[in-house]
Amino acid sequence: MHKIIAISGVVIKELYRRKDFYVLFVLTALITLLMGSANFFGDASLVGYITEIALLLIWISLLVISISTAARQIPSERENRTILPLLAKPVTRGQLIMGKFIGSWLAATIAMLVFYLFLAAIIWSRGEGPKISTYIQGIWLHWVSLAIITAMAICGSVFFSAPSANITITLIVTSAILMVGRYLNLLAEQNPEPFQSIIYAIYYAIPHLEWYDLRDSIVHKHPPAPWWAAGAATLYGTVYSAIFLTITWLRFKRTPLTNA
Amino acid sequence: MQQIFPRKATSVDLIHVLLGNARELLANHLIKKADVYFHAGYYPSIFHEAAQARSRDHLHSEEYDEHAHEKEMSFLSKPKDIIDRFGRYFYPTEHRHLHGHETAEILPWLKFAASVDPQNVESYVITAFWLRRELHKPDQAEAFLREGLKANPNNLTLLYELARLRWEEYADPLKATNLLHFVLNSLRPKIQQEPNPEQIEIFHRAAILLAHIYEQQRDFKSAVSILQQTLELNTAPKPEVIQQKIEELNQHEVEPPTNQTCK
Repeated sequence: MHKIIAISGVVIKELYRRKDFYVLFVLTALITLLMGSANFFGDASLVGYITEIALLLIWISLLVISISTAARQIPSERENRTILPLLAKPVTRGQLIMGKFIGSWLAATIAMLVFYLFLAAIIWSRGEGPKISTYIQGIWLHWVSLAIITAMAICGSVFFSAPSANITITLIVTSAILMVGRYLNLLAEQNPEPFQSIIYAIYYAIPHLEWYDLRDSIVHKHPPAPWWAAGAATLYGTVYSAIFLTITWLRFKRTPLTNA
Repeated sequence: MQQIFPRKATSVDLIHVLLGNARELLANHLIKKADVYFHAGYYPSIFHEAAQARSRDHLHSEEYDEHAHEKEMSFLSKPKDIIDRFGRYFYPTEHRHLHGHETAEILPWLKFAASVDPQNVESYVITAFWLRRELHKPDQAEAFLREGLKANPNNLTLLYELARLRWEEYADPLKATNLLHFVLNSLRPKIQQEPNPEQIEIFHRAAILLAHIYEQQRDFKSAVSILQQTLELNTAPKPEVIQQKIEELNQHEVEPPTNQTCK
């Protein structure tokens, strides 16, 4: 286990060495503060629009941070040929994948906590914010979704030849799931065969990341989902992350360690 | 025709340059966003059939069809499968409207809409409605309507709303009747030449309000005269109701008006 922790520690250090997080955080903070400074008919207690805009920016930023961090891990080790001494420690390929996954996920987690703390400070300094229980559940489920997304990006890194292709495709796929995943069954019903079966197959196969997006409930001050449902979604997320990591391991153990 | 409000500003601002005609689409989207907030996040997506041709009457009128609105908003049928059923725990699934100070949350989107496309009259009308009805800020509502009139000089919908505000919030029959006469006089020739439903509706609403103000002022003769115009121009959706009201007014003893009004 300590080998996995050591590998993940290196990945976390990468987060604060790279500029992505700082740029995205400053951008989010600036836009949020700019929006917060606007005056709407003399009412300074309005928080809905700020929460909505800030949460959208947080989701976009964390998608970019988690995918770009995870997608670069294995290809950069192979490209720099540091993977050979790393595996000679000895570290198994499975431990390497787990270390990279946990490191990328925790790096995204640190970024996520900074973003959400900033948002909480802005919201509750203005007036009545969302329900705290919904806010906490929203953070929790967002964290679980980051695990799935990170695992997807790690998985993509052993299939795609370049990290850029992996980052682009993973971003498109995750955004598409978040935007239309919930409606694929409606879409399937409106299509003739064989498209209907194909859309249904996609609907049942994809990880339903939209379950983890509680932005509407937070913004519109709804109560949280039942905690058993959040627990079940966490289990679902764990299973999907495990599936992606297993596929990664099966592929990676047969892959040559260096690019010819 | 003499203009009541100054001419439209012609300066080309940054939003205009950046967005061009997309401003109209964006403004409509922002008004829709306000509607989403009004329904506390419970709103049909583009994948739900109910999203097609929805009425926004409930956003700026107390007189919308509640039953039809409920029908429009029952877009969420029974869950189709386990994923659908389970997913519903994580987003709003209950139809409700914001009330009281909560409604202020829709205002930023409406103000954004007005900033993006100042020619979108709907954003001014809806904002003014909520500012005065739920938030009790008639002064802010009037200021925003006047802002709309600066961008849309002599817009008859905005003038009607301003008249309504002057009457309902300030009991100011003089300004209200002046504005309503201007609206009716502007619309009359247009309706006589080439009527369109929007003009007919605004004429009818302005006439009803003006007749109501005259009735309150006990100037029954003027009230009857205004109502007769709606019958002559065929703008009343229910002429029999108007006819009944005219007969009712005719039965009153005609008394001199209590306040001076300007026609």
